Formats: sequence, C-alpha cells, structure tokens
Amino acid sequence: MKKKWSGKSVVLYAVLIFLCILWIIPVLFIFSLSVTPETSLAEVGYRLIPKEFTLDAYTYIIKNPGQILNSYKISIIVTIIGTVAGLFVTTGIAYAMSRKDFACSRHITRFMTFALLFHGGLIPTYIVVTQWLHLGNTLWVLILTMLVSPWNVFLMRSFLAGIPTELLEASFIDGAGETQTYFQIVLPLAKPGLATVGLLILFGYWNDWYQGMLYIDDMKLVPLQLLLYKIISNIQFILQNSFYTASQSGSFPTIAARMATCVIAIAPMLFAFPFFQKYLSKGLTLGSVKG
Amino acid sequence: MQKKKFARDMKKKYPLLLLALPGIILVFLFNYLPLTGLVIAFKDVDYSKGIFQSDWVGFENFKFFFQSNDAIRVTRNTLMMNALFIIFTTLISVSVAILLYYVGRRMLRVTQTILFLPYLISWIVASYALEAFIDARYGVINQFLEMLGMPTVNFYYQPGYWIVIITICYIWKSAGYYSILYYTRLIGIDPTLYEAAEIDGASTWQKIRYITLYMLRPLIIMLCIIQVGNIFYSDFGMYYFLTRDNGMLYPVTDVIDTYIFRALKTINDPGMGAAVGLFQSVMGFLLVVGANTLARKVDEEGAIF
Repeated sequence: MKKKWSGKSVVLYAVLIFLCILWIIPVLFIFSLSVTPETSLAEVGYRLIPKEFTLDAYTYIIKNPGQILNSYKISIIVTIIGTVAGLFVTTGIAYAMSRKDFACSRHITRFMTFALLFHGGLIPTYIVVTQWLHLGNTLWVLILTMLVSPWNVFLMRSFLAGIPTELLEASFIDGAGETQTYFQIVLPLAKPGLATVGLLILFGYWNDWYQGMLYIDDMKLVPLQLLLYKIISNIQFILQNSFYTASQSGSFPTIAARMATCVIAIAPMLFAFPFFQKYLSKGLTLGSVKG
Repeated sequence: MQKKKFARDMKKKYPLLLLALPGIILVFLFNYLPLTGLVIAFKDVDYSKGIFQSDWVGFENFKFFFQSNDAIRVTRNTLMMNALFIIFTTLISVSVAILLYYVGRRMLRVTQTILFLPYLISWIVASYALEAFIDARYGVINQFLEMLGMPTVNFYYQPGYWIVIITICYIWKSAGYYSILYYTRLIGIDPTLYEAAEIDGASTWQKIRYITLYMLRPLIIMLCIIQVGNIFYSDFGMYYFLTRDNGMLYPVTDVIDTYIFRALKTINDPGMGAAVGLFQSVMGFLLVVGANTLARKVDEEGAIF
C-alpha cells in the first residue's frame, strides 16, 4: 500500500477515530463518574467531563475496605488458582487428544466433542453441584465448575496440532520420555496457545459472577463482580423507597463509590491485557477457524 | 494382536493418559453427570423425596411450558435478538476490519486495544456505564432531550427501546473481537492481487468488493454458521444485568436462559426449568450439527469438529 495522504484516507481516518471514541466513551464514563462528587451529579446529571473533581470515593473505599477488600481477595485467589490449574488441565487433555499415535486419543476426542455439543443445562448442573457434590457455599465451587471448558480444550488442541511431529519424534529418539517431551518441547512451543487460552480462562474467572450468583450465599465468599451486582440491587432497593433522592446516607456507597469499585474491578485486566496482546490476533484466528 | 499392541502403546504412553485424567474427571462431573439429572424434566420434583424418588409426570412439564404464552415469547425473543446480533455484528466488524486494513496500520495497537476493551469488561460493569446514558433523570440522553425541550423517556419502563439498546450493547462488546478475527484474515491476502487490480484501473470500491470481500467470504460464512448454531443460547448476564431483571421489559428481553434461571431461583419450578433446558439443548445440538455439516460443504476447512 502506498503511504500518501489523499482526501479519501483522511475521511477514513476520521471514521476510524470516531469509532474508537464511541467505543471508549462508556469506559471513560465509569472513570469520570468515579471522581464526580455526588452533589454535582444531582445538579447537572451524568457528565463525561466532571464539573468538579474529587477522590472522595476512593478514599472512602480505602478507609472502609471491608467487603470490597474481602471480595477482591476472593476474586484474586479464584482467578490465580483457576487460571493456573485450568491451563494445566486444559493443555493436558488437549495434548492427549492431539497425539494421533496415542491409542486413547480418539476416544478422548469423542468424549469431549459430545460434552461440547450437548449440555445438560442449568438446572441439572445445579442439582449435581449442590445436592450430590455438596459444593454450594464453598470456594471450590467458584474454581472447579469453570476449570475445564470443552471449547478451550478444542482451541488448545488446534495449537498443539500445529507442532510438527518430527520434533516429538526427535525428542523420543534422543531418549526423552513422554513427560520430559511434554514439559521441555511441547509446552515452550505452544506459547501463543497458552497465552490465548490463558487469557480466555483468566478473564472468564475474573469476570465471573454467575457461579457466585448460583451457588454462593455466604458474603465472605462473594467475588468482586458479584459484589458489584449486589451493590446495584441494594441501590435499587433504596431508590424504590425514597424515589429520586440520590442516596445521601453516608454509610452507603454512592454512585461515585460504585463507579470507583468498577474501576478497581477493571484495572487488573487493563494491566494484564497488553501482556497477552501480541499473541492475541494470531491465537484468536487459529482458535475460531479450527477450534 | 490388537490388544497386545494397545497394551504396548499404553505402557509407553501412559503419561498422556495421566495428563488427560484430571480434565476427563472434571468433564465427567460437570458435563456428563448432569445428564442423568435431566430425568427431572419428566418429574414433579419434590426435594423431600429426593430427585430420583419424585413422581414421574411424563411430558407434563413440557406441556405446561409449550401451552403457556411464555414459550412463544422467550423463543421469539431469543431467536430475534440473536438474529439481529449476527447481522449487525458481522456488518460492523467486517467494515471495521476493512477500515483497519486500509488506514489503521499506523495506529493498530491503540485501535485494537480500544475496540477489544469492552470484550474484557463484565456485563455488570457495562450496566453501570449504560445507566449513565439512559438513566431517567441524570442520563446523558435525557439531559439532551431536556435541552431540546423534548419530553424525557424512562427507558427502564419502555420495552420497545430495548431491542435497540441491547443490540447496541452487544455490538459494542463483541465487534472488537470479531473485527480482530477478520483483520487477521485480511493481512494474509497477497498484496500483489491489489497491485494487479490497480494496474487494471480498479477503483478502491472495486478492490474492496472483488478482492477484500471475496477473500473474507469463507470466514464470514463460517463465523455466521457458528453463531447460527448457537442461536438458541443467549448471554444470560447481558439480559439480566443490563435490564436489572426488570419485569416490565420481559416482552422484549425475556429469553430462554433468563426464563430457566427464574424457574430455578424465583418461581422454584425446577422440573419445568429442566424441561425448557432440555428443549434448548436439543435444538442447540441439532443446529450445531446442522451448521457444521453446512460449514463442511461450504469449505472443507470450515467444519469446527
């Protein structure tokens, strides 16, 4: 492509920049509302550029960390354990499937394909988890139920299938066993796959509220995203009782505090994203095309 | 003979089975074991008797669902909204990908990050942002309407608007993801094709139409087929959080997944919920298998399994 500035390309640039602005405004709104004082909100409504600036919401959260800190801890524990274990388990099963010379690989693939295509649905799963496995209200339910997704397994397999078999054979000829080959040859070569699937698992855990909503009643185990929802429903409750009086009760998180909690929830993912970005476009394509 | 070969194979390669074992156990527990629980779709669930001891009711649960107005409503909403998502997400993400391809390379990292950002944000956080726009009193849209001297709208009470609101939110969240997919396919196009077209005097539009779109076609078809295969499933979080599970909006925003959730948590009728879930699973299964067969026909590489 020639690099010259024609009228047409200026227009296209403008369209692209406009789109990006549209896309980022909702996110900026969350940031800006988190530093808007409640009084100015009641006065002029939601504004992208706040009329006044305050960090009250953040100091409020830092001074009263209680539940938020606790939920943050739960989310971090679940996300770290879940991502590491999930990646290990997903890669293990995907590798066994990708090894065509392994007698069981076809059976495992069939087993996973059916799991991918047919779901028992919410209610039977709920009954298994709560009535049979007795996992309700435990930290385990947040980790285990999401540990393996058949979709991620197939995604991972498509990466592993791309590793030339000659490399594996060479490793065996050199006298390495299966375990050694897996850890020293296969895993290092599968980095883009590990990054992509790892990213999907990581975001899945961090953004999860569903398992919490289904299985957790104990406030001590509520993850961050679910806490955000619980705060909304409480606000609704308050609004219903004193309609249109922007809640002034000091003990209760105001709108700025809610938004600040959102910012705290988004922040770690914003930091994690660039780390994965360079693998991403490659990884996503491979995954979607040959998942 | 075969058995011997199998045994020798296993002796050498048993570590592979060990690697796969944790995954197999988990999938068995959380994907296969629930299938036995599907029997409750045919039972009148009584927790005090236990699930397997509850009375059989045949197809009563299904009858109850299909004879109610809910069946038509939730199925229609699910299919209609998903159809809108597929059409608009495809149109927009293909356009964005082409835009990125023609002008965006200089700022690819920034644009990609911005467009992908919503994909990383949960629906709960997104619902907070949405409120800033459509809040009855302080929302941006209503401030604007007020400024123009027009009557304000309380969106949370007006189902009609939500077809548009939900579609916009869905596009906002997923278009970045899909446009990265399309963009990556575009950069794989041989640039000499464009040079040849230029020599032949093709205009930009002709190039887009006959080269870019032509090269994207298999991927567009494949991604659409995957989405059609999932058309009976909805993103529960999107409907539940954006609407705050507001009953007034159900005429438009109640989908199969939210209906099943309510059957479990609010109405407390797990038998009926499981019946609806089974209906959804069977339809989903048939569509995925159908879509996959179709994908195989369109493009050998296109089949997903």
